[in-house]
This record gives sequence, C-alpha cells and structure tokens, in this order.
Amino acid sequence: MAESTADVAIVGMGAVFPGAGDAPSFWRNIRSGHDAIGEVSPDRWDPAVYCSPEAGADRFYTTRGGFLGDLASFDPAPFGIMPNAVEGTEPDQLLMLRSAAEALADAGDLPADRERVGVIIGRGGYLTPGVSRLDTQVRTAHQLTSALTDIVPGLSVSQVTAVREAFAAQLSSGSGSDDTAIGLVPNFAASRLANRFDLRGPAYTVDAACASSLIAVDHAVRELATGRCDAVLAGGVHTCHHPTLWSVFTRLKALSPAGVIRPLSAGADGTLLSEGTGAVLLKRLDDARAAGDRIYAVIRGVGISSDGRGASMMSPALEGQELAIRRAWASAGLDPLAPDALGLVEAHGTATRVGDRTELTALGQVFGDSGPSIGIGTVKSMIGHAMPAAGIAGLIKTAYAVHEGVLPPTLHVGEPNPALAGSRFAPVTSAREWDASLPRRATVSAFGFGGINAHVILEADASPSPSAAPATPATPALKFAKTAVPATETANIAAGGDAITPGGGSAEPVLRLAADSPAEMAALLDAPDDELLARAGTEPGDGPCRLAIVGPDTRKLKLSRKVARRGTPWRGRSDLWFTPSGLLQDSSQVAFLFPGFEPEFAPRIEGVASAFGLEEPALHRATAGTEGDGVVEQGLDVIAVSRLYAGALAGMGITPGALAGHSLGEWTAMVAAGIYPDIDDFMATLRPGMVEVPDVVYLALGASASRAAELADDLDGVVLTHDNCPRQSVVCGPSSLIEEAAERCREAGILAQVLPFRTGFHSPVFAPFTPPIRESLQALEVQPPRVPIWSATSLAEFPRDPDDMRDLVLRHLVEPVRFRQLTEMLHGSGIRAFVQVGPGSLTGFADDTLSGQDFLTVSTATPKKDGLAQLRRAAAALWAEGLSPRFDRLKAGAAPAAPAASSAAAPSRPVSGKPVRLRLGDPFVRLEGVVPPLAPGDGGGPVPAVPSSDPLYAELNALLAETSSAASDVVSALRSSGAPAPAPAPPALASPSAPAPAAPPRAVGAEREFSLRTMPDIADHCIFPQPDGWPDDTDRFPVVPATTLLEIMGDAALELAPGKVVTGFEQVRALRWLAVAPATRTVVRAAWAPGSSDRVRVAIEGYATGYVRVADSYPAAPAPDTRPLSAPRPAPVNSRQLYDDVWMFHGPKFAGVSDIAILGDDGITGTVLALPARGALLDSAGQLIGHWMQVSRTVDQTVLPTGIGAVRFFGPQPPAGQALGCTARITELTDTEMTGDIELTGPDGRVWCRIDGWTTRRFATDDAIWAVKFHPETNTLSLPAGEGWHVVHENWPDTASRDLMMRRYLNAAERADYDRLNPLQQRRWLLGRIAVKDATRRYLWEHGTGPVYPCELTVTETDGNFQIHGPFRAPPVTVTLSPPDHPGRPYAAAAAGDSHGAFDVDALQLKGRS
Amino acid sequence: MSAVFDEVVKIVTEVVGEDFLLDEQITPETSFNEDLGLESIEFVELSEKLQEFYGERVSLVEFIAGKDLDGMMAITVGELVTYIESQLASV
Repeated sequence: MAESTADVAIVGMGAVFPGAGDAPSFWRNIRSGHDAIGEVSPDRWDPAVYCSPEAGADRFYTTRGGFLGDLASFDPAPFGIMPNAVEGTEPDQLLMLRSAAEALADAGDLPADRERVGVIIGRGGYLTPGVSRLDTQVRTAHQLTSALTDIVPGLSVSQVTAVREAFAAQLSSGSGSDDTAIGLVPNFAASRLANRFDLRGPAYTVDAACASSLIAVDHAVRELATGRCDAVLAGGVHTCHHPTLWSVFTRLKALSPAGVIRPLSAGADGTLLSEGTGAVLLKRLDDARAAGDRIYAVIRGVGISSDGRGASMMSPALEGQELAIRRAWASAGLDPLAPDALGLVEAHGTATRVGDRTELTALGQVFGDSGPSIGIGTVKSMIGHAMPAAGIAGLIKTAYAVHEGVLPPTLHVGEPNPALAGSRFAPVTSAREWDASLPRRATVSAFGFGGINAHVILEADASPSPSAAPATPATPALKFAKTAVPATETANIAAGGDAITPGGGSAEPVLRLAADSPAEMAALLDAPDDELLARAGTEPGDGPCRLAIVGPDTRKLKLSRKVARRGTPWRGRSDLWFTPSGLLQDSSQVAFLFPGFEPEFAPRIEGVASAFGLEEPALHRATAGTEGDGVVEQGLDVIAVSRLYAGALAGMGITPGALAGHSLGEWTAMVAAGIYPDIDDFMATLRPGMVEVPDVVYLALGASASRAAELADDLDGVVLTHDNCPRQSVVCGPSSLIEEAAERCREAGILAQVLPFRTGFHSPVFAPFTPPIRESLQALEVQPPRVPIWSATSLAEFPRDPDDMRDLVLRHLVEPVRFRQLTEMLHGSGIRAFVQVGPGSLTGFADDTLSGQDFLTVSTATPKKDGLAQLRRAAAALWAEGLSPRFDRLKAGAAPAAPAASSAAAPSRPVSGKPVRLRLGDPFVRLEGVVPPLAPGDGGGPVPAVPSSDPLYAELNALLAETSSAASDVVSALRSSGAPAPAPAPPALASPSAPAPAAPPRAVGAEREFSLRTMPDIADHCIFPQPDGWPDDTDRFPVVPATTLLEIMGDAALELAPGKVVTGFEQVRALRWLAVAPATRTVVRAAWAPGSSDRVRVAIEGYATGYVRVADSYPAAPAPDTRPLSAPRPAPVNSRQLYDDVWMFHGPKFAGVSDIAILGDDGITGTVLALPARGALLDSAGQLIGHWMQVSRTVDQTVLPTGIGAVRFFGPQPPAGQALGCTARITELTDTEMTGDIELTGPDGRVWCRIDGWTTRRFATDDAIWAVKFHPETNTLSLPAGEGWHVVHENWPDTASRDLMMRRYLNAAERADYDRLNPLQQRRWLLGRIAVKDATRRYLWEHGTGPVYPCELTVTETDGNFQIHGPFRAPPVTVTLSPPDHPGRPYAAAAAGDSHGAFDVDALQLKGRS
Repeated sequence: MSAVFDEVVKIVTEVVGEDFLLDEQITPETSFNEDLGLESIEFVELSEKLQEFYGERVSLVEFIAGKDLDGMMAITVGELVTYIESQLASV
C-alpha cells in the first residue's frame, strides 16, 4: 500500500450533536442505532405560530428535526470566560470551543510550537441565534411600534414607548453592550479557538454550504502537507433553527412531510434539519506515529470539485460528484474499481429523492458493480442534516468505524432506494464487524448547494498501534488556555454536555428488551450496565418475554435481573415492567377507564398537547365543594383532561376495545366515543353555578357495598351511591344521618371519609333536579359510539338507539354506580389492560376487584409525574404486555444520549463544572399580559394624544359605550333567566375602523413566563445565599414571594373588571414554590366567582389560588387596633442586622423593614418602607411577623408563608419610599404552623391595610440547621463524633423541610441525580451527600481554605466511593450510613483525610429528635 | 426488632405485594404513604388484616382518628408497631 508523506492522522475528536454531548456518546448512539430526531421546541420557533399544513414561505409543514436541547450548554470557567459574557456570545462559538477542547483533550498532546497550529472551521452565513436576537432588538422593535402608530392613530407617544420597552424587556439583557455585540462576528467560531488556546497558525472559517466541514478538512490537509502547520483543528459548526432557514427548505419542499428522514430508502420523502458541532485534531501521519498518538484514522485522499455549469444551482449534478470522488481516489493513488477498494461508504444521503438518486448513481459509476458487498449508510438517518456541520458528523462517525472495525447501522431504510439495485452497496441495517476480506477503508461525502462537492478517504492506521489511548484525557487543553485556571478544574475541560439542569424537559429514556423466555432475558441482562443503558431508546428485538424500564439506571437494572430470574410478571413498581409472555394479543383487550369527581383534583397535563399536536385545554382548576360551588368547573376540567389523554393515547396507536367511566367519567366515555358531535359547543355554554344540586353529603367507606348497606340499614335517607370495589363503597344522605353512619364506622373499625363535594348524583334525591338536564340532553344530537361503551348503571353495553341512550344518561344520575361489577364484566369479556385516562383512583378499584387474577392497570395524569412521563410509563407497560405503542411520539424535544444521563454508566467521565445552558433561539416575543391591551382613550391605559374633542373620537366613544351597555343588559337578562350567557368576545385591539364590543370577558387566561428575565427583582428574593459570582442562579433558588403572587392575581382580576380597584384578597393558598430559575411557565387564569360581581377567582395554575375583591373605590378605613402587646420589650435585633446578619435572606429590593420597635409575647411592631418591587411592601410585613418567630422560639423557628385568610386595602398602594407603621399579632402557634394578623398604618395614622390569617409553615430547625441558615459557608449540619468523624442526623421529619435541606446542600447537577431516585432512596442519598460535603468542608477549613458553601462541592459516587469535585484539593472521604434497622433517626457519618480512626457506632450519641 | 415489627412487616408485605421486598427493605422509618405508596384501598386492606391478626384491640381507625390528613400520610411502620405494642400491653 502506497503511503504518501501527505497522509494525515486524526488524533483527537470532539462533538456535540443531537442526543450526544461528546464524541464517545455520539459514537455510542450511532452504534446502537439511536434515533435522535425530536420535535422543535417553542424557544427555537413556535409551532403555534409557524406550523401549518398550509405551508408556505412563513408556515412549515413539519416540526421534526435534530435539536441539541439541554445539551447546548457551555461551562465558561475552564476557558477563562466570564459567565456573564456567555449570554452575548454567538452560541456556536462556545459549542465549537467546547468540541475543540474535547478534541484536544482526547488527543492528549499538541506540538509545543503554537506558531504552527491552525484552526479551520466550516460555518455558514445563516441567521444564527445571536444575530437574530440582535435583529429583533434593533429592527423589529421599531417595526412593531411604527406599524402600531400607523394602524392605531389614537395612540400616544407614551403608549407606544411602553410597548417598545415591553418588547425590548422580553429580549435578552446581554446583547446590548458593545463588548457583546463583538461576540457576534461570524469568523469568531474559529478565531475564538485560536484566542483561547493561544494558537498562532491560520484561523478562519470557510463556507461551502453543506460541504463546509470537509472543505475545512481539505484546507487542513494542505496546511499540513505544505508544512506550514504541524497540527490543525478542523471541524464544522451549525446552530441555526431559525425560521428563515426552515422557510427556505419548506419552499424547496425538501423537508420530509412524514417527519422521518429515510436516506437510501425507496420511501425517502425529504430531509430533516439538524444542528451540532464537531472538531478533529489533525497531524501528519509520520509525526503522529512518532509522538505515539492514538490514531483513529488516516486521511488518505481528499477530492474537491464544483459542478460548473450544472443544471441548477440548487440541484446536485452527477458529473460534479463523480469528479470529486475520482479526484480523491486519484490523490490517494488507489483504484476505486478494485474488489478490495473499501468496506464502507458514509453517504451524504440527505433523503431527498433527487439527492439520493444522484449520489447513488455517481457512486455506482465510480465504484462499478462487481466485487464484495460494501456497506453504505449515513449519520443523517439518526440526527438529520446538520448543514455545514454535516460533513464533520460523517467524518467522526467514519473515523470511529475504521478504528473499531465496526460497520455502524443506518436507520429507516426499509425498502432500499432502487438505485442501489445491482450496485456494490448494501445499507447496513444493524451494527456488525467489518468484513475481514475488505480493508478498513471508508469514504465520506458531502455535497453543498451551489454545486460544491467533497469526498474524503479514511483508513485505519496500519502501523503497530500504540493503542494506549491516553487513559485520562484530562490535562492538555489547559496548557493552551491563556488564562490561568486552578489545576483541579482541569477535569472540566473535557466535560461533555451530559445532564445539566433538571427540569429541562428532555425525555427520559426507555429501555426495552424482548426475549423468548425469562431465562433468555436473564442472559440478555447479564451484559454490563453501560451496554444495557446504551440500548435505551433503541428498538428492542422480538419475543414474548418483555422487559421495559423507564429512566433505566444501575439500580433498576439490578432489580430487573432479580425480576427476570424470578420469572413472574412485575407490573410497574420502580418504573419496571416485566412479563414472561404478554397478556395482550391486540389493543382490543384494552379498556379506557374515565374517572369522575375526585376529592383531590390536580391534573398534570404539561407537554401532552404539544407532543401530540392536540389543543391544550383551558382548565378552571376549581374543585367541587359545597352547594354546587365549582361543580361545573371541575366537571368540565375532568372531561377536558380525560379527552386530552384519550387523544394522546390514540396518537400513540392505542385503540381500546372498550370505554367505561366512573360516575361523571361515563359522560366522558360517551364524549370520547363520539356520541355527541356538538359537545364542544354545548360545553362552551356551561357556566359556573348553572347546575343545581341537592344538599346531601357523601361518605366513602373502606368496606364493601353489602357491609355499607348493613351499617346504614335503619338510617332512612342514606343510600348506596357507589360500589367501587370490595374494599370501597360510598353512601350519601343528609348530613346528620351521615354523621351517624360515620360514627358507626368508627365503632366498627371501618375507615370512612366524608367527601368534599355535594352533588347528590347517583341517588334518588337528585331526581327532582333532572328535568333541566333532560331538556339539554333532548337538544343534543347523538350518534352511535365509535368504540363500545360499557355502562356502570346498566352493566351492559350502551344502547344505540338515541332515546334509549338519553334514558340511560338520566338513570345514571339517580342510580348507583356499580363499578365493581363493571370491572368484573370487562375482565370477563376478555379485557386484560385497564388504562385510567385522567387523574383518579380507578386503577386501585380495579386492582382490588380483580385481585389474584391476571391483568394490568396503568394510570395517566397522576399528580406525581408530568403528563409525558405518565404516558411514557403507560406505553412501557402496554408494550411489555404485547402491544406496539409509538414511543417516538413521547419525546418533548431532542432525546439526550441515554447512557450519558446516568453517572454510573460512565464512571470515568469527569464531572462538569457549572455549565450554562446556551440560548439557541430567538423566542417569539409575546406581549400578552405584559402590556395592557391598547386602545385610544382606554381608561386603564395611558392617556391618548388625540383630544377627546376630536369628533371622530367622540363618535367612537359613544358607540363603544352604547355597545357596552347593550351587551351587559343582554348578559344580565340571560343570567337572571337561567339561560347560558353567550360566549364573550375576546378583548380586541380597538381601532376606529373596527370598534370592538366593550363588554369585558367573564374569564381570562394566559400563559406567563416567570423568570429572572421577566421578573428581575426576584434576584433579591433568593432563599439560599451562594458565593459572589456563583454562575448558576438555580442554586440560589429565587422564588416569587406570595405577596408578589397577590399582585399578579390582582392584575388578572382587573382584566375582568377594568376601571375598578383591588380592595383585597381572600382564601389565598400558595401551593408550592414558584421558582424563576429555571424559568417557570404557567397559566394565570381569572374568572368571576359564581354569581358574583365583586369577587374574582384567580389561579396561578399549579402554584397559587385565591379570590380577589374588586370595587369602584376603597372602603372606609377602620379605627387602628391599639391593643398593647403583652410583655412588651425592645426588639433584640435591629433592622440593619436583620439583613446584614442574614436573619432575612432578602436583597435590597425586598429589604423593606426599616425599624423593629417592640417585641411582645404575642406580636411585634416596626416600620416598613414601600419599595418599588412588586409585592415588596406586604412581603416586608411578612418578614416582620416571621422575625417574631425567629426571636421568640428556639426550635422550628424557620417560617415561610403558605396562605392568607384575607387582605383588605383601605386606600391605594402608598408611593415608593413611604414609611408605614406595622403591627403583627400572633393568633395561633402550633407545632407546624404560625398564624397572625397584620395591620399597616400610613403616616396620617390611618389604617391602609389589614391582613387576617397570615399563615406560615414552620420548618424543622435545630441548632445546627439554624447556624447553617445564617452562615452556610462556615457551618455544617454534621457534628463531630470522635476519631475524625462527623455525623449528621436526619432531623427534618417532613418532606418540605427535607426539600429545603436538599436545596441548601445540592447544586443543580446533584439535584438532577437526586430527582432520579425514589423517596426512600433520596433520604439516605441526601444524608450521605451532606455528610461527605460537611466532612470535606471541615477538612478544608482545617487546612486553611476559607469559607466553602455546600454547593461549591460536587459529589459523585462510584461503587460506594465518593469523589469530590470543586475548586479545591479535595481529601479522600469515607462514609458510613446508618443500618436500615437503626432505631431512631437515620444518620450518615463521614471522615475526610487519611488520619481518622474507625467509626465507633456505640460512641454515637443519638441526637435525633424521635 | 420486635415480634410485632416482624408481624407488621409480614402483613404490610401481603398488602403491597412481595414484589416490594425485591426492591426495598421495610424499616421502622418506612412511611406508608410516601415510601410504600399505599393507596386508600390498600389502607383498608391493611386495617382488615391487622384486625384479623390482632383482633378488636388493634384498630387502625382508632389509631388514625386523632390525625389530620397530613398526619395520616406521615405514619411510619415504626409508629404503627409502637401503637400495636401499647395496645397489646394495655390488656
């Protein structure tokens, strides 16, 4: 074999492509056939705006492509880049830097002479994210306001300015400065590498469209051949999913309408756009061998050509491609027609019809048609088309292939392209070893628009390989970084982009395995963990014995081995499903069960609608209570959520054989079966309070229906309404009799619970209330069901005659629900899988009823998991039992490299430092809810410039007033007659040419982003202090104060009641933390309370609910409460100390307590300042009452608000800077809660605001917790236990307190690990981490390191050994956890360094509180 | 551990299924709701089985009567064992 001195070696590689944060993950994905195609996320372009079957220049017909998702991250510290510079830098430069660093680290060494190292990067001239954002900011903002002024002449300058400012505020804050604007220069993708690694050879980008990467490689080879460079970093980068690029491809009709990229297939119908970056380090072969480098592949030849005067600039030309290929083979001195010419072709393979045909024809003409079969494939089948970076993706893949002697698979070929018939090429459908009769030689092609063609020949290195790949690719890159970085951070340089922040929405992988028998399955599971984990997300084999694991990890694999060895079915615990032979032949054995009213109704639907292209239902989130309050709202929600999930299950290919419902769910079943074609119109007319119900109470009994009947036998008026299962039934009756029934249950030792709703459904007492319902039903058209429905009333299939159907619906309202019998019937009819569609407890009923028989129950929409996570479990369960649900529909975005997600899978990988998620999009700016709707003369908005004397304007005003009063007359007339009010028109931008009806809506709802970008003030409301400059905001836990939520509720209410003022709030409940980093998106919904004109119910969905009082003016102030506090004394802490000494965590914008005057046994007084930050004033009052607790109790003195009984305002919000007197009185103090009242008075002594029932939760606090609260950087939760050991006890008995400890101690990467565990594991895991961090910190303190916050250390564990990562020289740490049978609270003990003794468990003084 | 603990573990295992033991160990700190994921129907089963074994002296209903919902949710195996032991001792 002739080797020329121009041969070039690939000695290092780095990559970030969809599904893979580094080159090894990329190769693992390729070898295992991982399909990384996903759905576009709205931060790239919003499908709601751009996706439409009516595709055109600005509407696209597919949403699928290759996306980096959370993998698009960058850790600035090791490169000496300031974290705040990341935001303003074009992301592709940083991803390129990351890949180049990986390649350098991988290579292990560079020639010492940096004068002779070059950088050549393929990069296109697309509208990249940074440039796009700048364009939006400097141009679109003006375009918007100019258009506004043109079409709405009445707008004032201040109104328009407000819009432009609101628009600008939605954009990034970082792109404004001159410094960062420089960060957008396109060639910096190459220059930044030269700068950071101090390289002095040529550094530039090249643009040759899709051939860019390989053209860059060609340049690099020439630089090496001429001797000008001794090493070159070559690569390509592309991070542009801008709508303009999608527009071009849509107009070319080049994208796959099916949303599947199928290169080399007869069924190929187009390409899919992708992104990513890759880099290789190239050296002359002789140099590489002399240096003992690990050589992945040798570049034997490169051929470049242009099409010349081809047919079209946009279509490929046969002759041009052929010329490039022939030139490459000629330059290598090799004969392409030789039988042993090569073993693998990495095709360009865009999967467009003409592209694939042209390429295959050109290959056929060069390589002929005789000789052994040559494998062909393309990585585009897995990641899509990464444009300028496509060539480097193919090159990296092919280099690994020749290095390892593996022919990697290509996906979605099915029936091969006819052009392959008779050729030497055969698609590789599964990974296999290289054909031993063929050399390990392969080619890579890339062809670009405009007719630029490139072809590269790679070969395995024939010389005795020093195979010794650098064992730990840790040291090199830093030698080239200009900025000094502490040596311990070296490891970060090669950090891949694996799992960074939690909550990023990336899909959990699902591992599926199939075998012929449990024994065979057990054998399959004998494979090493990382091999098995790498199979997650890939297609399983075939066989009746199936295993599915959602979110596989080492622990679940261990469990699965036990389960497979046992050989009996395992259905769902630990997200594992196993069956020796499936229960289901087809989906006709599946029943959908629709739940009815539930005492606790908290549906989770996030992600479901968008993943399945369904309409997101607008939920009321009300719960049914007494007197029919909320019945309609919850009823509509129950139906809407179930319909959404039924649609999603249909999208997954699950077509049930039967539908059934529990109570109201039977109606959902009818709706889902298509019985009511007009149901949406009908439901839109339903309004709160429209359904009248009797006043009776339900009692759920933990006993059978017959036992219930026995108990209530002589209680006349108590009737059985539900026979749910052998262990649950429900009775209903007047409250006095139900009390008696409950008492009898207590005596008989039967669990019983009064249910919160009072509808009277399913009992004879409802009979008088049915006539209006009968009327409605008569008016509704009915059709036969599409899927059989089974009734729990008649215990038979639903009738098909319309009148019989209506009769059955009415019977259902007054007869008991016989769900137990229904379940048995369904099972008897052959149903084996019961899928609960929506939140409820029906799976529990079925489990109890069918106990001991063979069946599967699976639930959707439980509150514990998000919607897609639920559906993923349902899919896993149904697949295990024999069905074929579509897992590909369950991806919210790009799926990450499955194996990299588990630290156990790749123990040697260095841990990433603090990666910053890069913003790769230019999100669509939405001003809804940010700027009040504009109208000239809008009383709520700024005053318009057009004088009201303008005759046109006066006419318009008169018209609006008339319309408004007419509309409200109609509404009130309708309401009083009991008829449904007409659906309100949406608020419109009023303009003279199209006057909108002025009646305000009855309900509004809009999604809002809660983030540091939209609410920058919250940066001063972070619960956990971190060191200065700490880059990860999520570790500080910035949360929206409850009082700021009040302001948001007030805003929402005023949208319904324009011109009114908020006079107070009632029954406010804060459900959970609303954190702004990472950003939270949720819907803020407001609706008038049933029948009310001054009370609006507002829900910040999932986070807070409450009522807002509105009125025309404020009520008169009451006399101040002048009762003295008991045992008054001077406050021990002054207001400066309050913040300086961190009694309160609040920053300046929320630090409003300006004086603390008197402390009493029952309250506290002081002064609070009105600060401009929204919610700051009342929050300061809350701080004062919280401070009373801090100085009045010595245990559990940490309090945070959970609810407010009522707030009353007696005047407008005081101006900023005004001081108000504040008196807080404690009304109730229990072990778990503190409640108080607060009064705020203005400078005139008048009461401005009163808060009743300010309720706070007490969090577990002991001396150690208290000390750590003040100074986490110098205190530990662990206490010395002798012999160098430190012990921490779990002195936080409740989940909420544990959550605070967790957030105090774990950083983002660790929280992601924690979230993957089940609660039992979490507790021990957390204790261990705390002990390790505390022991390490104490060791560091003893060895002269200054303050260290827990989050500054990242702890990982491999086989019981803990590693500590951080900017310190960490000691070895030994850990002991309390044994499972340890009496008292669990503990963990840790010792750092080498000089500790043995842990003496007997000497341990139990400090637990139990 | 005590005989009562062993018996309670046995009964709990019957309720949640022996599957559980393959995956996790039941300890006095194991909570019925959070760790075992016991649903209301299973609570009823637990109650029945306890009465079956210990007779009228042991009533889950009585045990939880004084607790609110949060309190009920937080009950651990150890607390139930302590209650049963006190009931048995008081006779």
